[in-house]
Amino acid sequence: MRGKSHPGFDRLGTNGISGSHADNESPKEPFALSLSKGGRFRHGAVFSRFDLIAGLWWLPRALMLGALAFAIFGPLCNLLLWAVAEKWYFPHALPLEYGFSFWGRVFSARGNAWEALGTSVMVAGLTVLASLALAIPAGYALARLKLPFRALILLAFLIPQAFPNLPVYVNVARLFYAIGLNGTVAGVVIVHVTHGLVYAVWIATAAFAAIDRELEEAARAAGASALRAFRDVSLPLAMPGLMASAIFVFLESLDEFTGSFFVGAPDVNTLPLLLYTAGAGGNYQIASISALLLLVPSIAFMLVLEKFLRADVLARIGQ
Amino acid sequence: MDEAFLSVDKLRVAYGPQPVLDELSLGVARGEFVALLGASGCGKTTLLRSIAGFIRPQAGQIRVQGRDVTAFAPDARGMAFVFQSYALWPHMTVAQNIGYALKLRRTPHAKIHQRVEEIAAMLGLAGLEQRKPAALSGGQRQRVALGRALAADPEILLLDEPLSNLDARIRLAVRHEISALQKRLGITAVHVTHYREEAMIMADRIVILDQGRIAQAGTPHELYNRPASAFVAAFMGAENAIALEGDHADGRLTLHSPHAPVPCVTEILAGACNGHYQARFRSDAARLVDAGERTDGGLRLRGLVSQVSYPGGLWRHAIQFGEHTVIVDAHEARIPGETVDLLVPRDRLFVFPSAADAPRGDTRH
Repeated sequence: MRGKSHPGFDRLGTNGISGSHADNESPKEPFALSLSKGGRFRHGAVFSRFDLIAGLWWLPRALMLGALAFAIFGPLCNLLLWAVAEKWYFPHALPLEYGFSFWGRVFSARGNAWEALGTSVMVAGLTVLASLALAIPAGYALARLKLPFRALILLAFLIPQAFPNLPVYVNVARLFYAIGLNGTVAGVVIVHVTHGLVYAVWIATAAFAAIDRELEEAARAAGASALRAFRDVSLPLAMPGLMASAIFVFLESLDEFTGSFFVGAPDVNTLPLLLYTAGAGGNYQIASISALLLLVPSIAFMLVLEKFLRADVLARIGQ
Repeated sequence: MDEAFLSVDKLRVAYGPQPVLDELSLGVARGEFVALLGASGCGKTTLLRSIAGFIRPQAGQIRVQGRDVTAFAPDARGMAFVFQSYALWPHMTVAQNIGYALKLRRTPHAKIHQRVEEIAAMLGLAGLEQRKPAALSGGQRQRVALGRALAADPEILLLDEPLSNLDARIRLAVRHEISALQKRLGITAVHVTHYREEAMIMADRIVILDQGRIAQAGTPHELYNRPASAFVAAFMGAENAIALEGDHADGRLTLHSPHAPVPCVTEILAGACNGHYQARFRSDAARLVDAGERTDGGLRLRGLVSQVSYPGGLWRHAIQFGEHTVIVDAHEARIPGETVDLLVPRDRLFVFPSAADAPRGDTRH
């Protein structure tokens, strides 16, 4: 492996940066061009009545859109190119050879990719379940009960995010080591839950608060117990919000690195850890392929929950 | 005392130190339709929600057929509640909304279906069973809310301003429908409203609430024609108020005013004394007469026509006496600036001691 990655080392030092610089030009130009064509075509008739400056209204917007598209798709294109590049070094703007030999290496028995993917999905799934199990009662209580320090309690969930990750997780790792949680899936899940709980609880609180209390009272008047009214009315109505929070927590967990590194590695090997190892070793192909692999569960999970994520529902979350 | 079907006994509810309901007692007979009428903030919705079990009272009892239900949860009281907002469950279809109470009672599926069809047919909702509430008009939602309340055959139906979100025209029709339905099904109903006309049309008995107490309870006819206080008189549409001085002698009360050319003599039953009085009358109760015309009986006041308008049917006059202005409807228009006498027959004049004076008047005529 080392022998083969030797030419790659050259690429890494200088070409990696200039390579992306070369990329900078190419996708932008055709994009701006096509937009400018469209703009001119549509406004040909208007020119006769308005002056030239008014006719150029589309230009700043087209540039903005182009820049935005580049910001979103530029890195992804680079990632895709790296994933299929066999040979790519300075000063070439595009890979010299394309192929899938690195894919074979990633998915080989020694590549650990399948195992890491499985671990990542399992950890993320358990994190979602644990977060929702905590966030549903917590969110309902925060939304419905008259709690004295409601705002403070809500703010408290932000604490794990508010401090720098590194010192927190180093200490968590020390603590977990003492009680035997280090290097276990449970330990990694706990760390991810503390991290994701702020999304889960905040969104769940908003989701429950948005439900008219009279809807629950109507169920009580119809003869439902408090628990039954919650199950039949509050929970289904809060479901879109809860699903949105599940997506946030899942995605957070899936690409969480620092906590997984200190608490999980090397026994619990998630995809981001694999990606880090590959990236740190200059294996851009392997890192890119791992990154693409990381997209699979994210997109799959979002597609599964997509039916809950209608725009009107998302708009209600903030209320 | 005869135990009523639904009785509220010395109920006290307070948010903070200010009581919303102050030792309020009320009995409702089986099959009776009672309307709770009052301005916003008078405690009428609080009383209804206490009966339903959504509000826990600080003191007092709520009994159904003699059984104390004060500590019962809302779902254990066997009452149905129709909300002002309808509170239909948006994620359930019309059929699911209506059938929910039956589903909770583990009624067989076929039976629920049959009952839902029945209710839908009764309320003119047939064909809409599979729609979600969002796809219904306001009137249809109101019917679904009513159907949902009626599906499980409740003994007591509590209605919290269920008509206030409807268009004025639909509201007129629904008033009659609800009270007809209530009579047909023999349900005991308590209805909260702030529309006098709605209460008068729908209810067997009206209870007027004022600051957490019952100002007066009685049939629409009683309240309209024999209001017990100036507050009730005003609520029942006697908006015109005149301050008068009263002399009490030989069981008679003689009322004076600088604007009255002749004093008005009324008979007093109890509690009268010398002092300030307030007279109230409706705009259609008074008659305009020329200053020279002779009349006897009733209250006669001399004033100036300050404004004339035609809202339809009768001419509406604003008549001014010093700082007072009253509204009088008459068949013939007068000219603004004209001096006229206004005559209120004794049986349509409500006289009460002014708030500062004496106990609450039991005055009639």
